Amino acid sequence: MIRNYKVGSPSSEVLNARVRPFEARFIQNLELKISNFGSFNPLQNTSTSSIPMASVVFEQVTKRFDTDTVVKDLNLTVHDQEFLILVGPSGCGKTTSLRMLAGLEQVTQGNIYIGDRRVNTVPPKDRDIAMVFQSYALYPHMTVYENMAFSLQLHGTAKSDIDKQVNAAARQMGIEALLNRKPKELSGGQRQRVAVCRAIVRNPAIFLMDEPLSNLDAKLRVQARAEISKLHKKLGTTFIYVTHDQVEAMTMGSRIAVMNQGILQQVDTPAHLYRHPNNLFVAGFIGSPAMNTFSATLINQDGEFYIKNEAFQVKLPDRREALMAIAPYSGKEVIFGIRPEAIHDPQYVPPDIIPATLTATVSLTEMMGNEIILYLTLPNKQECVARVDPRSTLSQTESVQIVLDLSSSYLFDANSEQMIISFNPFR
Amino acid sequence: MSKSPVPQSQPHRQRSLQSRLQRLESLLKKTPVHVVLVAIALLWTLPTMGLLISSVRQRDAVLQTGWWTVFQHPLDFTQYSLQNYIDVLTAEGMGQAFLNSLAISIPATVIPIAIAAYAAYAFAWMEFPGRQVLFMLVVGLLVVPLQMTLIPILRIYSVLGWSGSFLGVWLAHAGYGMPLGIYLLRNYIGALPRDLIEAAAVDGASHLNIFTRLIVPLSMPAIASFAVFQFLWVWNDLLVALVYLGGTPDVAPVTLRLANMVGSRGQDWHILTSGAFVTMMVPLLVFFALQRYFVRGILAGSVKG
Repeated sequence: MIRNYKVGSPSSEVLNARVRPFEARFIQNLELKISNFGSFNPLQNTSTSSIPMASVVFEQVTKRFDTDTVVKDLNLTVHDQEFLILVGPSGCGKTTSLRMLAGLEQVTQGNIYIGDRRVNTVPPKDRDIAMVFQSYALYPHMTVYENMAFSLQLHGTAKSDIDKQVNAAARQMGIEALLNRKPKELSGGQRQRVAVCRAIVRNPAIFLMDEPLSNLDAKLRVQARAEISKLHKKLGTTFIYVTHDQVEAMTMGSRIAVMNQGILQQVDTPAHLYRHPNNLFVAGFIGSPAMNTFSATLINQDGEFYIKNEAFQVKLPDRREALMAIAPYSGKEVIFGIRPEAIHDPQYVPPDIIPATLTATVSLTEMMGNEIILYLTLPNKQECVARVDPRSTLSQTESVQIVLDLSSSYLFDANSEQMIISFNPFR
Repeated sequence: MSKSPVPQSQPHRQRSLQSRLQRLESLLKKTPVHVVLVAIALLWTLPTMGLLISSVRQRDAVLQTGWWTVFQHPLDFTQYSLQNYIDVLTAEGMGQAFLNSLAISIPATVIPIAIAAYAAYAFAWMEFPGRQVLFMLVVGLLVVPLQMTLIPILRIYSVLGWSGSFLGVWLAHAGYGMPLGIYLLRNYIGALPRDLIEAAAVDGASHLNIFTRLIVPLSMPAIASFAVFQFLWVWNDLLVALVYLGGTPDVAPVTLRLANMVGSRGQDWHILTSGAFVTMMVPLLVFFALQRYFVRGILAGSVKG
């Protein structure tokens, strides 16, 4: 049960017992605080102590299959105890990145570090990681108990300790009753729990999860989402979680890394990612329904900036720092983006917004109960989606005035698709 | 409480009646198929039946009347005797041959399976340069006729002093069986889900751990079916044993013994039939014990699962 890491000083061996990671980390933090006099940052891997900080660093990592570049120049730091989500459309390289970290794929170029150890050539079994697979990958010929005991047996844990650990993990995930069943006798939700259980049982430094919820039905998924979040809080280990579902990404992660076509687009907290997307891709990927975007021209009239296309002309909020940023683009093509929830029924406009009106016809309404999704057609036939108050009575084929809230609007460079400015006042 | 079963039992009875009707209907539908199947099965087993019955009849009876005449008085046990078997196993040396056959077949089945399973795992899941080329070479060996190899191998054996030894014939059978074995097992093992093997690797398993704890238990159907094939082939083989072992009674397997008996006692049908049945006994047992693997083995590779 007690696993020592190679250390110099005999006193730190006691701390290295992975049995009580909380205490160990706490003491370690104390030590660091004493030595660093308050300059300690829990998210920074400046540890000189021998306890393995479970941080992960991708350094200029590139992965090629033959001539196909799947991951390009990935630079990403995952801090110790963080819950990082890798998200992106299918084929964006997120799973490949995770598999390189697990050691299931060779790195073509660059380095991967776990703690301060370079792991490029370290086989998976020596990386102190656990992984939950999308298919769960439960060993079909073993019972749930044997599935969970498998890795402990391989690590030479004593039989009585195996028993203790398996039972403790099973209790934690509420699967004690299933221990003697074979995987084929379990439901999808139970299999998922067993897969998570198998990962936590040996107390690894890092958890990797590859779309673990995508085979569950909608209701179970919501439940399992909360469970995994709680598990992360309880265990306090580093989680790296791959998903294509942006709802999972937004709700679970302490930070989100958005990838597209093998390139990391942005790493940020969910809120900041939503309010300040780096580029058009992130803006469109995060948020559902997706952000509305329009090609338009930026016009400078006597120091006031307008966005104009065939359908509308809108005066931009005159915040000074914003105007500084957009000034170089005056007279040029830009992309104007606005979130669906920033388009309002004039009857139900909330206070403290920066309003602008627009004419459109309603082509479809979807009553969701807590909100109404309006599909609008602008005069230039362009479609846009609005999320309005459920009391709204705007109905189909009606030509209506709608109100935009420009404090949730964005400008993007038409060529590079990089964000020029977000008018969102919140960080 | 006491009343509740009464209203429940009514629909229950109806349901059981309904299900009984359904079962009857499906039985009637399937009957023609079953009749045809049983007829074919009978037709196929008829020669074996004849052989079995002839082998327990007396010499004169066999020569004078057909085996089916026993059915006139099937319960008249005086017409049956086990004397033929006793003669065959002792006087004709079939007992020794039987032991020789076991001594040849069991190692000649175990050795190629053991090697082929390791090889199949390596070909399926281990990355090493030249893997594809090597595998193609092995599969290519499937088309080499066995007879082509007899002379060169015999030459090697005579240098090594292995001709006439069991070791020589084990290795020869292992070599002849392995291309098919590697091919069959590689296809099966290669079709196991990649995630399982990767999960084991992340869990801390080495290749050897993965092989012994995961691959072998999961490929038991394929291994068993190949074992059946290989065992039956070795048991029924005459040529390889004759060439590498020679015909001396202390090493000759049942096939060789039986062939010799046809030459020496061609008229004695009672002896030949019981001798034939002794050679058949083991394959029959193996087949009945493992027939589900046999069927699965034939389907292996074509249909998954």
